[in-house]
Parts: sequence; structure tokens; C-alpha cells
Amino acid sequence: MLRFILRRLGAATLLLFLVLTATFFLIHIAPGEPVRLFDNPRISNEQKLELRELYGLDKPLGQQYLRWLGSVLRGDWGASITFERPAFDVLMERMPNTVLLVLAAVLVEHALGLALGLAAAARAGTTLDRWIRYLSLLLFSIPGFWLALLAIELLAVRWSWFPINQMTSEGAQALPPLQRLLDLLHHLALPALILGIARCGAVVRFARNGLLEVLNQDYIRTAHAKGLHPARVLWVHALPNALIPLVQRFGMALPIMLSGTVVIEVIFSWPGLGNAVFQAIRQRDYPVILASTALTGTMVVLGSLLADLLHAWIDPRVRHEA
Amino acid sequence: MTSRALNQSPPARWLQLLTAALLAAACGAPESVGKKPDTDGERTVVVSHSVDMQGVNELTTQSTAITNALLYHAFFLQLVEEQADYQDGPPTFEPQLAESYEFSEDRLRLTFHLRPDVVWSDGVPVTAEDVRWTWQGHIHPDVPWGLIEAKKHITDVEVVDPHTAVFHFSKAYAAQLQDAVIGVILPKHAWGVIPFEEWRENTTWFRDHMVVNGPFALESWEPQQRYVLRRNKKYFDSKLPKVDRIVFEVIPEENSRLALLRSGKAHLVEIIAPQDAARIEADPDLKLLPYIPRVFFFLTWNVSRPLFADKEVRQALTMAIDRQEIVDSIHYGYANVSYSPFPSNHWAYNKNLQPWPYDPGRAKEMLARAGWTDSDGDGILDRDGQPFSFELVTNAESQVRLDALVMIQDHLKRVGVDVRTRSMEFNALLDPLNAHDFDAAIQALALDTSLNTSFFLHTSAIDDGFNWGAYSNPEMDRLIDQTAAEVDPLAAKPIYDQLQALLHEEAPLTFLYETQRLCAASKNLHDVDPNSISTFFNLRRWRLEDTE
Repeated sequence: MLRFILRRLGAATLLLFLVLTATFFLIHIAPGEPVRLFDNPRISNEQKLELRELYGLDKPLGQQYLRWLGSVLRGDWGASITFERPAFDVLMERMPNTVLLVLAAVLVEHALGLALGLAAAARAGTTLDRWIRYLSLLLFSIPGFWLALLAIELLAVRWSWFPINQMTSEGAQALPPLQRLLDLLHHLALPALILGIARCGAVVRFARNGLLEVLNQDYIRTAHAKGLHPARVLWVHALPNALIPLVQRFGMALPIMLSGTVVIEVIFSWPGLGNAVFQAIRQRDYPVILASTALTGTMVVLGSLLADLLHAWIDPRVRHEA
Repeated sequence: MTSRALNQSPPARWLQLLTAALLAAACGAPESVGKKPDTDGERTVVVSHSVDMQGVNELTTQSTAITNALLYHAFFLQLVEEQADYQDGPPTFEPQLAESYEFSEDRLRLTFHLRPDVVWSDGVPVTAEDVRWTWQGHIHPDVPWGLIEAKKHITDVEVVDPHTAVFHFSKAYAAQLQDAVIGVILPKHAWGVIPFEEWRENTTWFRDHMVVNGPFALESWEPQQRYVLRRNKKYFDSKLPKVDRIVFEVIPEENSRLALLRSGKAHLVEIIAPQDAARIEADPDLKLLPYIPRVFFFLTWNVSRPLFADKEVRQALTMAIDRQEIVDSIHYGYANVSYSPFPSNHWAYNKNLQPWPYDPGRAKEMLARAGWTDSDGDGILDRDGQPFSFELVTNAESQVRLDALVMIQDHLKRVGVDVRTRSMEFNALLDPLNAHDFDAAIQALALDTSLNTSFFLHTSAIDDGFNWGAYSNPEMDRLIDQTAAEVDPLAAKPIYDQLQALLHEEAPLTFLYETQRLCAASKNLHDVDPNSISTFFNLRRWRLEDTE
């Protein structure tokens, strides 16, 4: 097992290096430059050259790459041009916010998706099943940003139930811990619900189909034949096996969600990674773009590793092969 | 709480209480909830704002958002402050740190007399030493400040006594005062600790060592979330500011920004889209504050391409575009067809010109005279076997420009001109524009008070500037140089008129329209005076009505 993990990590490191190198050259070759160099007609060419020199943008690309690689190996991701701080610090500040949003959303996604999916499977072929399937299709096709704008209009503007933006109220730092937590949850509710709801359609399908497939297996029939209580058959015998494909999906859900949160973060002004990277790309903030590529890349690698491990833990067949 | 805006609605409170009850039940720690920290009695204005503050030191922070840069004026004083009263003549200047100023007879020396009673927020007096030191920072090559050009004719800033500073110029010209006062005065005693050479590496240091002399101080800053200004009690005018705190909520997304205002949780949104204006007008709690910015929208023809080398062709193309239709349909009437880079309410605006009319018939005739006819009957004009076909680009961020792009394509098709449209991200679009590697582009530029048109019209701006269309005309260069050399702006009015007439006639740019900026605010926020200098121009005089 340990060897398996080490081998996976080794391959992943190589992959990350290649991805980062490709990203480095792509963003430098792509048209545009850190935008601030251009934004004022009173900035002369001479001035622009000086600023380029300051950020090391005047050197040949190969040289810039080696310099960047050298500092990355020393653990220095460079200073963000727009945020005026070390790029890695900027991302690390944002990271917990995004992870919080993603975890909450994944929770909503799976709680809702599983409940609906299992209900549909348990009542397969009935009107309820049909409606749940329609609903899941609908949820699957609704764009998250549209749902978000609708929710803001109704729940935040018209009824003022939820705050529209940010993750805390102004002045919340001064509150006692419990109230601060409540304030945070109040802000978290809407974006997490939207993100979770917009993604739960697939979970419904996975859960329903997975359970139906299992319920048709011989061993379930045997369990029924033994006279076991139907609930026990469903919960103990059928469900764990039905969840295997979902577990694999779950492992990948985190990294996918990390990139999927960009739009929701921007709409709700959630101070997360997505928001920062969106801004960095527009302003050609190279250090932030590269550091975030490394970060999300690492997350994807760890996520898929986690999915494999979970899978092996649940499904003995995989464990034996490994 | 003094404002209606900041009260939570009952359902929101109810939701919070419910969550609280659940949590309390879970952890067994009942506690009262829903009470904000004690800010009662304070007047807090909330602004729903698009961009975060990027830094507090304007010398090391070149913000992409011009309005953001103007926020520095909340923290630091200028010597004198330019006003937006340029309707009937050159703008006036309101005394700030300097109570008066005078030029020497040869206009090579400009003396500022500082107010004796101005102190930094830590109690240290503001003196002419700060003025001189700030200028040294402006021109220091290692800083380097983005607006250093403004200071290129200033040879020295002399400290005569603690309250008298003299700016020495190498030559006399019209914009001397503007150039001298551009840039706020910074605290030498606090920030001079770090030598200018090391400023770039210490940009964040300044925010932790804020010492201000302006109407507001920085109370807190949560990056990408909000920043809060608090009234500076040591501000020299004890009657100002009239509010205690201003909270800037950072909301990059346009709809969410407006939603915060409409939900009653904010008092002002800097710019709203024209299609949202009706909704604001219909809301009994909100008001619309339109103004004309110093921005002009145009279509630039790359005159170095043979297709657009002929001015008759450029005029014809201008007449083939139904600009009024664009104004009506995508600006909802909050714009008008223009013919000049100067705003129509500006003293230097040439009122005697008329925009080229929308006249596709005449446009066709003129194109025919230039040799463009549809000889092969395919609906597209051609000359010497070449079809009249070109690519029109704009930046993808602006929906209004994208809409205009498609409409112009349609208008030109009616006269037999084939337009291929393309949109690029702004940052990427600058590459072909600066390299003059495009056919035609829709863009916008802003003018400053100096009325400098050289940066987009002068021959010298082809290589170093925004003359993307590579337009070069010795007569135009001469007029521009004349306006720049004229010391008395009013005396230059006939030259500005000539310049605009020539520009109109030559049509290297097709001026599209002049738009109104639409600021929206809650009705209980008074004395907001958004203008072309800044939405936050009057920040220190903003007043919140006690309604509840």
C-alpha cells in the first residue's frame, strides 16, 4: 500500500512540474501584460520599461523561467503584482474560505442528492420516482450563476433573509465567538446551497441507478429469501455497495468544486481562491496564476489519490489487486 | 442605528435566531444573538463598490481603477484641489493644505502658503518639508511613480519656511498648477523611515503605518471583502467629515452590487448599467445621480491601412453608422451622439460643429466617388477586384461595446461594407492596438484637465502613446503643440475649436457617443456630488439624514 502511494505521489510530482512549466510559458506567450503598466496615458514608454525591469519582465523568457524555477524550488512563489504580497500568502489566506464553501456545498450536494436518489430507487417506477428524475435533470441543466442571481433577487433583495455578499458582516470580528460563527453560517448558507443544489442532480442519478442495480443482484434476493427485514436488506446489504461509484466521485468532487466555485465566489463576493485567481488572470498577475495552478494541481492529485484509497477501503476487490 | 438601510429584516433575524437555537441546543451554551457591536449613534455610510483598495501609498500602487486612486484623497490632502467646474471656463482650485498660491512674474516659480493649523493624525504638524519630500518621492527613479511625467518640468521644490514651499519650473506652460498639485502630500516623519529605494519591496508596510492628514483614516481592511474609513478627528476643518464611518463593501459582480443597494443594505453604487436606471427611478427609496464623465467612445480607423487612408471614406463610414440608434437601444437614452473628445458641457467644447448625420445614401455616393462600387453584384462594394471588407475589434469585457460592434456591422452592411467582428480581452487587445496591427477598433479614452489630446492624436503618440490608428497630420500636431504651449487656457480656446473642427473633418476617429455615468444612491444620503473627477469627490461632505 505504502509503495502504491509513494509511486502515485512520484508520478504526480512529475506531472505537476510539467503542468506548471506549460502554464508558465502559456501565460507569458499569451497576449497581454500585467495591466497596470498600461492603464494611464501619462505613463511613458520609458516608465513602462522601468516597471518591466522591476518585475523581471524584460529578460528573455527562458531566463525568466529559470529564475522562476529557482525561486520556486526555494519555496518562493514570487510577489503578487496586484495584491502587493507574496503570491503564496494571498492564496493561503483564501484557501480556507474556499475549502469551507466547497465542503459545505459538497455536504448539501450529497445529502440532498442521496436523499432524493434513494427515495427514487426505493419507489422505482412510481410517480415520485418520475418526478425526482425530472427534477434531477432540471437541476443538472440549470446554470449555477442563474440560480444564484434568482436566489439573490428573491431571498436577499426581496425578503432580506440572507446577506448578499462577503463571508462576514461588517464589524463581526468584535462579536463573541458563537455569534461570529452564526454570522459566518448565515453568509455561507446561500452560496453553499446554490452550489450544492446546482450540482446534486448527478448525485441523484448515481444514487438511484446504483441502488437499483444492486437491488437486482442475487444476494439481495437471497437476503430477502432468508426473511431479513426489508429495511435491513436496504441499509446494510444494498446501500454500501450502491455507494461505491459515489465514493469515487466524491474524491474528485473536491478538486472539481475548487474550480467550479469561481462563478459563485465572484457573484457572492466570497473571498476565496476562485475570486483571487479570476482577478489575477485578468491582470496577468503571473506569480498568483502559477501558484494557484500548483495549488489546484496538488488538490486534484491528492483528491484522486484519496478517491482511490477510499475505494480500496470500501471495495475489498480493489485492495486485493493492489 | 441611524439609517434605515442597516436594519435587518424580521425574517433575517428570525433565521439567525433559529440557527442560534439549533446551535445552542447542540452545544448547550445559550447566548443572545443578533446584536451588532456597539456602533450606535455613529453615522455609517455603506458603499457597494466594485474594486478593493490596492494599497494606501499612491506612489507604489498604480491602480487600474481611477476612482480607487481618488480614494487616496480621503486619507491625504493635496495642496489645492481641482474642482469639476469646467463648464464655463478652466476649473478652479479649492484650498486644502495650501490656503493660497501665487506665480512669479515669469511663471517659473509657484509659491504655496500652507495652512499653519494642519497636523498629521499623530499630532505632528504638516510642513513644507513634507511637500518637498513627497516631490522627491514622486521623481525618484526607484519608486517609480506612474505619474512621474507630470513632474518633468519641475526642477526643485524649495522650503522657504515651515509653511511656505516654492515649486521651480524649467518652463512656463498652461498646466503648471495641475502638475504641481497632482499627488497627495505624504508623511515624511512616518514614511521617510524607509528610503525610497526600498519602497517597492515594502508596499504593505505603509498600511500598517498609516498616518493621515485628510478627512478620513483607515479603520480596517479585510482584503477582497471590505475596507472601512473612519473620520479623522484631527482633520483641520472640524465641521468635516459629516459622517463617522464609510464602509466599502467589495463586490466585483455588477448584479450583486446593485442588489445590495436595492436590498437597503448599502447607500451608494458608483456606476450602474443604463438598463437598470428605470428600476432605480421607480424605487421610492433610491435616486439616480447622472453626470457626464470625461470619457469619449470612438471607433478608430487604422489609417496606415490603404482601406482607411482616404478621409472621404472615413467620413462616409461615419455617416453610414446610425449612432442615434446605438444610443437609444443600448444606452437607453443616457448618451448622445458626439463629435469631439471634449465633454459637451466643457468650456473648450466646440459648440459650432454638427455631428456627421446618419445618411447611408450620401455615404454610398461618397464611397462610389472613391471608387467603391458593387461591380460584381454580390452586395459588397469592391474596387480593383478587392471587396470592402475589414475586421472590427473591441474588448470583450464591455457588453455595451459588444452590442455596438454588432449594430455597426449591420449598419455598414446596408451600404455594402463587409465587417467581420472580433472581441478580445482588453489586456490582449492592447497588443495589436499598440502594434497598429488591426483594421478598426472600438475603444474609449479619458481626458484630464490639461486637455492634452497629444496622447492619442499627435504623430509622436504613434510609437509612444495611444495613437493606435497611426494618424499623422502636421497641421494637427501643430495645433496640439500650440495648445500645450499656451499659458492662458482661455486664450487657447480658438485653437481648441480649430483642433476639434479639423478632427471632425479628418475623421481619423469616428466619435460614437458621449455617455452619462449613472451613480445610484439611497435618498437619505445627501450632498453626494459624483462628477467627472470622482464619484467620491465630495466624500467629506456626504451627509446621512436621520430618518429613524
